[in-house]
Amino acid sequence: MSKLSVAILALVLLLPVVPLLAEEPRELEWLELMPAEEAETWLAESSGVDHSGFEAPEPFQSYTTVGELDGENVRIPGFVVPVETDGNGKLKEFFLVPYFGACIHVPPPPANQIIYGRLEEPIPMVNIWDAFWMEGTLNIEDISNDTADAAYTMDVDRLVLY
Amino acid sequence: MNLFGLAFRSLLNRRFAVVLTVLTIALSIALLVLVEQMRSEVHDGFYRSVSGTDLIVGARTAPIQLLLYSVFGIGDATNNVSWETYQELANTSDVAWAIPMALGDMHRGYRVMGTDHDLFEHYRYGNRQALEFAAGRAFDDLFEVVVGHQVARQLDYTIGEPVVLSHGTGRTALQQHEEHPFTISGILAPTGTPVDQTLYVSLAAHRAIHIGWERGTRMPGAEIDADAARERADALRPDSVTAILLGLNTRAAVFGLQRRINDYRAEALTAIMPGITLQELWRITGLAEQILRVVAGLVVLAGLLGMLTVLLTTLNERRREMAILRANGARPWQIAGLLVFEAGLIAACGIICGVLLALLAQALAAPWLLTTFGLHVAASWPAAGLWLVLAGILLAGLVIGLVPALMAYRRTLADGMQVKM
Amino acid sequence: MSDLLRIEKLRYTWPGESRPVLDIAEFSIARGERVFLKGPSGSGKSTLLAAIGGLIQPDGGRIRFDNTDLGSLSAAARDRFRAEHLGVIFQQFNLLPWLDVRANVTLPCRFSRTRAKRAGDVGVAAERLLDAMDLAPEQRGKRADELSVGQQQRVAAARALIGKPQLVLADEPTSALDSDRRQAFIELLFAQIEAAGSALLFVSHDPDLAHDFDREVSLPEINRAGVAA
Repeated sequence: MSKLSVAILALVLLLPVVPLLAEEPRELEWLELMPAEEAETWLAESSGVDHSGFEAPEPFQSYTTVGELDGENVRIPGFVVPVETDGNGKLKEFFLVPYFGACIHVPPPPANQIIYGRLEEPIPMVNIWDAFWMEGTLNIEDISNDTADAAYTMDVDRLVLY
Repeated sequence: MNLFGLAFRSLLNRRFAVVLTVLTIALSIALLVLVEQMRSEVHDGFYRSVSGTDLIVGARTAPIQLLLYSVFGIGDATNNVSWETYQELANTSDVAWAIPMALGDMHRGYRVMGTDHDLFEHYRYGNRQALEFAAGRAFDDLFEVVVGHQVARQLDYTIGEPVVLSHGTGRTALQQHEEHPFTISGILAPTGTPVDQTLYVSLAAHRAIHIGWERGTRMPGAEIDADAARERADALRPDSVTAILLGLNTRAAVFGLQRRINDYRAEALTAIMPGITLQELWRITGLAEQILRVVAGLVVLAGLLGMLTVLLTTLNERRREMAILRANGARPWQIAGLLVFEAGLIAACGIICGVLLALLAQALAAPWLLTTFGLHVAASWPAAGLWLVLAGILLAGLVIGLVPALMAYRRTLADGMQVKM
Repeated sequence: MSDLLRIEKLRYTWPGESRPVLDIAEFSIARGERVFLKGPSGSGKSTLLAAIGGLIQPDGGRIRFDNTDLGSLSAAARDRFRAEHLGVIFQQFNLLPWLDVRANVTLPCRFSRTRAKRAGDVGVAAERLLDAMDLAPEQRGKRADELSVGQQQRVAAARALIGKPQLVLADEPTSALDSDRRQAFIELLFAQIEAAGSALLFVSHDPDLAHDFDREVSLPEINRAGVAA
């Protein structure tokens, strides 16, 4: 066999391998976003908090994050809360939250159970009642706030219906 | 092309019936296109108006109602938020800025809002656009007013012009505040949102207008004149506001803050996330929209069936034509194809005329929609998805054309070049 | 030289009928021959023309046209054949009323490219034929239904002759004309038939027109099926 034929054959055999080399987004569960210690103390602190003002009670609004997840390519399911649209009503920035609805009997999700997603290309507005898979690079950004450390954001690659 | 030319001339021969059919289809298509486009324009317009606000706070009320009267000026609030609560909210550490809105007054059909400079500095709409002045500047003196672009255009206002503000939210003002004529200090650039339909005064001015109205009606002698009011400017502030727009330092804090506002024990409040509440509004209107779509679709079907009727009734008259064509070498499928082409031509003309009609209707209705609802509707070509639907309708027209075509096919096979009339 | 058209043992019954309408042992037409076929209504004239035109398939027998057996052709091939080799003139209503005169004359060329090629420049050929059929130029742009019956028949003749078909079938083409115009029409037709080298099968019940034809045939004599009751 000529050298050219060998080269072509090698290329053809390697082609199926290429997609495998590309990084598959890691599928994440919401609880993985919360540091282990916090999950334990969270349950302990949930009683006896002052609800009478607008100020955030500290234990509830901790923004502690799991550092290792910074920069990871992940995939996580959740519900969309639209925040910003472009001039044409298309979705640009949004929150992804673990459950739908501000049910008045359950406290809102803590800060490390919320991901702020940014789309480079705005997409047509999505339904807030549908669940979506969000894929992209998870980032941990510093927040300048006396009650917070950092929060999760994501540069969203894909938002697909669950 | 052979058949195409014949089909065209054949239709031309039956101009009257064909034009009526094309018109029927055109009207039905125009309806379909309008329903779709108005729906998406309204949705886009609403999103454009609330982009950039994290929370809207008002006295406890239904979320949709709060959204409608605060941002869109549709409907009225039944209750207000106390000044103390507004201050406390504005000073909350999570809150970056708070724009107060004092509503309840009108000027010649446009609403008047008491607010402060936070509006001009922090309010965002569309694609993170801030408010800009087409002319002039924000209010400084107590009796200065900033007007939205549409207000200035419709009422033909210029900088420095005096305006009188009325109490209440009706279109005709029975009680006028003649003692306090305002002067226009600024005209805002167009935004395509309800801002264009609004006049803005300071909170102090809003209060000054209502001194003497404490008993619900105008008490003679109880008002103060303009200069006295200016001196008391610092002490003049309302005891309540109607709604507050909030921007947060940390976006993620919105969930917790919303909950705490809704749970606030000192006063009954409602806090909404505009993006969420808008979708709740669409859910309600969604049913009506769906019904409208179905109705539009049925009307299109009726139009196409009308075309079918016209084509079928001409079949008999055309037996002689078909015999002539066969005698000269036409094949049965060509004669059938002639009818399919005719159906396609009628449907295509109907669709094109329908789209043009829709454009015309939008162009004509746009000014009215702008002045009445603050809705900015641009007469535009259908979106890609809608073109696909229109292509599908053309296909349906061709398929419907197959019915008379098949009948013609069988008839010409039997008749040949002789017609037993 | 072999015959242009040769019919042998032709039998045909209309679907649903009990008796055959055609039962012809033998009938032929030579190239360039002008045949007058006479017969009363009901004698099967139109059916015979339909069979020669390939619009109906005989139940028995054979039709050979220029060495092609029409029965061996598919329906589509027969339509093509007709477009290429035949010209047809009816008694009346020959033209598509919503086409102008010129478009009507060139109609056969739309359905056969071979015929169009034979005509050469189709528009020029149409004009020449209209000249020969004595149709005034100012009439030629009009819609067909704006012409008188006599004018329409002459246009129909021009159409039948465009592209020099080998055989022209004429089914009572003069019956709708005034009696004093009939002979003139036939003379114009004959002149163009000769110029094109076509054969002519002229069907009529009026024996007075037969005198200039090469051959006169009585359909009831060759058609054993007889006249329909």
